[in-house]
Amino acid sequence: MALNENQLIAKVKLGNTDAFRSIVDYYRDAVYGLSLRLVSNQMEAEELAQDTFLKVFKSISSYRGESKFSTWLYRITYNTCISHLRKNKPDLVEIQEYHGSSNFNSGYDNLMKEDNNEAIKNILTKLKPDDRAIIQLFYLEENSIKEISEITGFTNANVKVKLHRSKQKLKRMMEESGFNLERVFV
Amino acid sequence: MDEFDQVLKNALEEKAPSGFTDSIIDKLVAKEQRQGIISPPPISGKGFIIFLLSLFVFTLISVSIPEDSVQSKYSIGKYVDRLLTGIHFQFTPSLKILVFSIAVICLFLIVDYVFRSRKMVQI
Repeated sequence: MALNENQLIAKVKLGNTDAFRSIVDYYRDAVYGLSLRLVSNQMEAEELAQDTFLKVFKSISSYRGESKFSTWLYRITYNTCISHLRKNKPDLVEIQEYHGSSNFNSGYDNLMKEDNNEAIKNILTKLKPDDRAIIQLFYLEENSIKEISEITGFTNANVKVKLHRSKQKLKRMMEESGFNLERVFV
Repeated sequence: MDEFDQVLKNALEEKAPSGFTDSIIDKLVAKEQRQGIISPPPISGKGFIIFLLSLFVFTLISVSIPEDSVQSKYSIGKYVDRLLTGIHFQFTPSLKILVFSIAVICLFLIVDYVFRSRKMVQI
């Protein structure tokens, strides 16, 4: 962040909406991305990301700087989305597991038609929401295991295990779908 | 980071929809405005004028209480003075003004707040 984050937070605590705008501008893709990864629906993700930022503005006085601001922000995002899923799609939170390649569009031909990233996103939706969130937080936002643990509430060991299993599962699903990693780098 | 990680990282990138930030700020401003209606400011402009007038009138009344108000048979101040001496406290004229002023302020604030709260419930 170009401006000092702590200064911006101090201003937001005083109700400065311009400072808050800067924070939203900086984190909006990350918060929207995490929301989208969790709920797998663009409309819902946008709404939840906005709710998250409104919650952040309302409760920023409770942020004491003990953890990174991004960790605090992602924790609010994660909790907002998980609450939403539990309320609206309880089955998805607990049950959604990958059971082979039969329940989604598979096959090399289909993947050839799609953008590689879209294909991976499609495969990602077959993981459980919290596993997707962990992948998002680890690979894209480059959070440490400890930070992911703070965000999601899982233990460090649990996060490591989930991350490892999710990665293996993803690799397996991608192979089963005929996804060629080398093709991506050509 | 191996090839797989890199591919995954690229695939995970998302862009928030355009107008996302503006939408949040608009919601925030609208929310603050709503809250402004729900919790009224401590005093309204119109109410402040009424308050000043009330204060002026009450001050006149309190000043009109003569030092020897007990002998002043028909003064308004006499009744006020009796009321005050009823609570066994010796009031000098300046203290009377102060007490009346505070009483008027409190009364005004209560009436003004209740009035505006009722108005807000109607909104």
